[in-house]
Amino acid sequence: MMSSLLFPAALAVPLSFILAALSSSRSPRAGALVASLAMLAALALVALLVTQGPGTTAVLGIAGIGLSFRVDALSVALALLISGLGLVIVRYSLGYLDGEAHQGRFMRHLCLTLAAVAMMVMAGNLYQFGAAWIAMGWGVHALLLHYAPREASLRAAKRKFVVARTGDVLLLLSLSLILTEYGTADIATLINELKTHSPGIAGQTGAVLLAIAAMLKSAQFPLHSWLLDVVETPTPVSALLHAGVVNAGGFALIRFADLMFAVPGAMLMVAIVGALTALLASAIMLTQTRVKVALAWSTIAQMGFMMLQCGLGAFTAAAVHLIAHSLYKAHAFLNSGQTIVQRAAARAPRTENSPLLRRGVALGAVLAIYGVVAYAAGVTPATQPALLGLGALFAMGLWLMLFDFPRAPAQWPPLVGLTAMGCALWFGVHRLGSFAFASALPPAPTGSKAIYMLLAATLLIAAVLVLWQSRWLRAPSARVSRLRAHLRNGLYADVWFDRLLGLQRRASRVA
Amino acid sequence: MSAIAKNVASDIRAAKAELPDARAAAREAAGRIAPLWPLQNFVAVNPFIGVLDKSFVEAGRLFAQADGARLTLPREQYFEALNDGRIDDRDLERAIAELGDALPAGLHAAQARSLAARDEITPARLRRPTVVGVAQRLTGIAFERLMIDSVSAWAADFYDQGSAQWRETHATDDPYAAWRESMLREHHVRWRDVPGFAASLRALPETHDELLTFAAEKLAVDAGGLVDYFHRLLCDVAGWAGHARYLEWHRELNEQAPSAARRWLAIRLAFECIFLNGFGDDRLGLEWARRRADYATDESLQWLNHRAVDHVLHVAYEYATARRVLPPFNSTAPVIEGRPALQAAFCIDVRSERLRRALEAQSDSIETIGFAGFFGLPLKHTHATDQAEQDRAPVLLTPPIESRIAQSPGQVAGAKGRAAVSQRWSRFRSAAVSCFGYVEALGPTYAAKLARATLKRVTPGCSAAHTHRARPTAGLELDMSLAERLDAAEGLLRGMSLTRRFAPIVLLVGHGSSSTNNPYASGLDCGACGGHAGDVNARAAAQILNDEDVRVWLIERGIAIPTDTIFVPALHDTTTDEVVTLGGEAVHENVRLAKVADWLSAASEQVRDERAPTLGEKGGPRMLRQLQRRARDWSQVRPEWGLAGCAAFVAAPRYRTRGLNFDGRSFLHCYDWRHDKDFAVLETILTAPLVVASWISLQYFGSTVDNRAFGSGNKTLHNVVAGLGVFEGSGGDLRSGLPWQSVHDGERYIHEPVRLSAFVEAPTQAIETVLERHETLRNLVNNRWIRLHAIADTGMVLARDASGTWTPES
Repeated sequence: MMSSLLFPAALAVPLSFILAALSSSRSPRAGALVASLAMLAALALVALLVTQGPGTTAVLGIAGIGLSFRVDALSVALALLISGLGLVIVRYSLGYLDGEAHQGRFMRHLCLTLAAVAMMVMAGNLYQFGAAWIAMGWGVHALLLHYAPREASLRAAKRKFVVARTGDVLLLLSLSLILTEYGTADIATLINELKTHSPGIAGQTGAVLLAIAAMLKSAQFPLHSWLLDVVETPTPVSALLHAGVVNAGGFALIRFADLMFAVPGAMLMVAIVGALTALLASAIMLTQTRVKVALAWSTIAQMGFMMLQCGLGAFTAAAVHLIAHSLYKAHAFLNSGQTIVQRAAARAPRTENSPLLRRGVALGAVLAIYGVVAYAAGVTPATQPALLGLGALFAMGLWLMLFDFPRAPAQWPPLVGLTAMGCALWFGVHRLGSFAFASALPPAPTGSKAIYMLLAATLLIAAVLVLWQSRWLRAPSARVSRLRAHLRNGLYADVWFDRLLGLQRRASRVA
Repeated sequence: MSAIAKNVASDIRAAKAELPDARAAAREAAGRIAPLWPLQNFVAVNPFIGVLDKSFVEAGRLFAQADGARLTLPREQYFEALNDGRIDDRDLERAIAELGDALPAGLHAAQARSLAARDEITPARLRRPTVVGVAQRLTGIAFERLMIDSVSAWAADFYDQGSAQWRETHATDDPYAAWRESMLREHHVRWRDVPGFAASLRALPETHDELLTFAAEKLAVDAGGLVDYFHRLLCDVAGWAGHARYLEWHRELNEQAPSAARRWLAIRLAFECIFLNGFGDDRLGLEWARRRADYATDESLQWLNHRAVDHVLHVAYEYATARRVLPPFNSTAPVIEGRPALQAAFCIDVRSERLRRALEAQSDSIETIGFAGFFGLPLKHTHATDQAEQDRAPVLLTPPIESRIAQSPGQVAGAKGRAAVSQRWSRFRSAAVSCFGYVEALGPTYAAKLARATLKRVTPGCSAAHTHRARPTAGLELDMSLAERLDAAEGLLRGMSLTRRFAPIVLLVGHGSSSTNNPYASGLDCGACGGHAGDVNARAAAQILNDEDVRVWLIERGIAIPTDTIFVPALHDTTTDEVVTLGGEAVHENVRLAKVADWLSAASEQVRDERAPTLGEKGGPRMLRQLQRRARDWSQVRPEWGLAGCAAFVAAPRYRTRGLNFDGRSFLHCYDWRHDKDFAVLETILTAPLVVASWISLQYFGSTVDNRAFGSGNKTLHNVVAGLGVFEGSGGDLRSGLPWQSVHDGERYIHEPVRLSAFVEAPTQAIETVLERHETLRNLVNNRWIRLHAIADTGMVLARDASGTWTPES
């Protein structure tokens, strides 16, 4: 039996944000204060979860339609993340938009969006999940229109509107299909049902639609351009979006992992789109000169990687990625004004030319360190093959750091130390993730042949990218200029999108 | 062979027929674009630097027609000031008298007053047409935005200072040629709506000179209006053209024929040609033929009828503001007995005024001096081996003196090693593929960073004071021979009018600002030090003046510094108003400094209390902590007000202004003409510090009256681009000037846009002589970009009008 404290504690998270929204119209400062209560509520949830274990509260409503909260490691971790980031972002907006004519309105929309995100991650039933999902989209829309008379803001809102409403429709369709097939809106019951009886045609279609809605929400290529437009709103919105809202797609897949497992085709689709997005967007990111736009491309790439993890069935790894990336990206956006100072400080000599031998030594060093740390962490090909596969990608990144092993011996100890620390942190984070989410998420399955082929292909392309980058960093070649020009333009995906929808027309002015 | 000869011959014919007009017009239009400094050393630039040869009123027309920009506040601002009595009829009458011929005949105060209540015809409506603009209107497709976004994104790539990890190498540094190359490489889906875009692009001439001629002929704008047309086009890309001008300025100081801006004009013109080519047979050709006639007609009269009253109101507003904020000068010199206990030289920066006043209030035996904050030492400084050289000098000078922070070979190697390792680490963080792993491994640690930043526990981004607390003893090396040091010492002391009555302690106070997460941080630092803190220059000056050998030789030149006098460098942190004496010269042991430190901290506290209301703080003993938090607050868009409010420049002995409250609005330069042989110092002051002050004042002016055209927009939307500037949002032109938040607090203008009132205590004849010799200065004064006054021995003020008549002010 669940504690009677669970419902109020869970409700307190979104409620704090709603109260904050109401009070910030009068005083943004008071709103920020109220918003910090969400963090306390989330901490209380952690305590309840640890002492009493996971569960779902009863529905407050009629005929299963209403409020209920699923409290497990995943939802509590995300509630903690959202309330923490919410606190940071709300406090930031307090100073950042000080003196703006509509600061109160901005804070109100910000807090309402946060409330919707909190409602969604803790949703105990499909109705609440769908409603919160849609509310979140509207909240972001209102924030995009904060500087409504700006033409660029209007265009951004239009682009986002089209993609988001399409996603909403797909999600609603998907949820109703699932509801018809299993006859229950309770997420916990649904997940249990899925363990015993696999979905029929309605459920399978539902899974595919859910996957598509998730990919739209998480800005997968080529329908990502709305995310780049968020640069047209004040920085805190970027932080909120990149660190919170855009995760919703990944979260939906993780939450309904059992459904996805039952439909391998949907998984494969997610994995392919994710891998494509991850590789393309990270290559495009390399060519970007606008700091916030580069960060947005980086987010698209990271979301792609998260989708790939989902598609591979590594849902625990995806959850870890989601949380870690949110923290990283929120900081990166809020701190993006620091770029000039950092750049002035980081004017370092260019990389030296490196003979093959030293590259080999670097590769050997990375593999050795990686192997030792993996062994020490108890990860072997036999126990966790998927993690080791993803780890190979990580090791490639480390290799990029060591690629042309420096000649000066004085640099060896710090570099080796950083490599070892990186490995230890990486395995540590994932071990912690598997421990924390063991009860909430299904373990990674052995997977199909197609999935492994995809992973192999991704690793291969990634390796090419890594090698290529090390070449570019040394000597840019004139032959790749044309490719670079297309990449710099984001493969014109935004232009195609605009043309398709007639958005290249002059935005009509809204009073 | 014959084909080439034919080509050459036709080229020459073309050159004879068309080139002079188009090229001369391009040169003139390009000259109207102000250079734009990058954010690393964001120094104030006069946005009107290219039109100083026009009167203020005339420039108003130029910028209205070229950019839809305004040089006066929205009319309701003046209306309000009239209604609440800030502007009275006397101000209006003076304004009408001053503008005289520029006004429609018979305008009087009552009429101006009633016109002020009417809606103004905004300058935006007076903007002249372009082909692209006409095409946009006819098709309803946002071509202007498409064009500017596309060109601007390309420019960010072309001028990138290391933002993109994958860099493009351009074969040429000619923006037009490089742009054309890049465009040919791209896919043209963006331009689908422009018929024949790709073909027209390919047909464009290869060099900008050819294009200018080609375009002038094709677009057939009246020769008389060609300069205005080109200026109109350049305003679409003024930010990047300004950056190009900066690069040239940097290479060859103050180049007269700015070719980079002409190349930028060629890029913009190329679009005009492509669009006319594409749509030419359609309605657009006819429409353009009709609209281009705008450039052939002289609309100045009509313009005046629309805008004259705004200029009257503005001038009246300036008189009213000056009356309110500028106190009358002291009439007599006080009799000073004996030797002062402390002399402190500050930068002329308006922020020093408060501190000087507060320091003098501590004791009658304290004297302060105003001098340009680089202390006459233009340094090319290397602060750390892994950083680029910094020009710590006014941008009007090319710094000849190399300086560096002393480091042992071991330290240098260590720093290089650390830099190399951190470069590798940042590659791991941000490269493709590796960023996925980095985020997973290190992402969780960012929770701590977020918490620290939210609790304001970070180190301020640009705090010179902090740097010095961290490394107080690192020595400063100057590459100067004894002779050079001697010349510098003499120049500095004479420039400060400090040649006798030395106090036992002479502070040399530079200034710098501290803030976090602020792309405009360097704009708050010392402009005389090229947008850096003034610490290094103060230390260099103290080192030279404390040098025994220099002092011995100075006696020979008639300046005897007592042996017990020491020069102590210090840094004024303008965010927190702390003043720290700087190390390296072993002055901390000195017991005499204890008293000085007390005075300084009392003065600092007084200044902080004075500033509290404008910062929305309460003041009192907690004020220092609040300001320190402000400097560490990553969400703070107004760490301090910088030079907002600047309204006056005074070059006079300090007794003229001692005890007067300028409320941080005046540049104060010490100058005593009675000790100035041949008025050489006067000439320097009028041509250097005064000009720099006018740049600052006009930058604030422009950013306030029209932030869209001359400012950088809303800070909350700023997007640092190419490591050198900002976009507002994701695209648009590179922005110049100051952010809106730097001049406005959300409720009211913190900077009142008035042209600088300069007051110089010197014989009017001497001032006229200097004016005669320097055209730029003469333009500044005669065209009313600054208001020049002389101070007589009695403290009476004489105002100089455009014709050179000096009249006593009541």
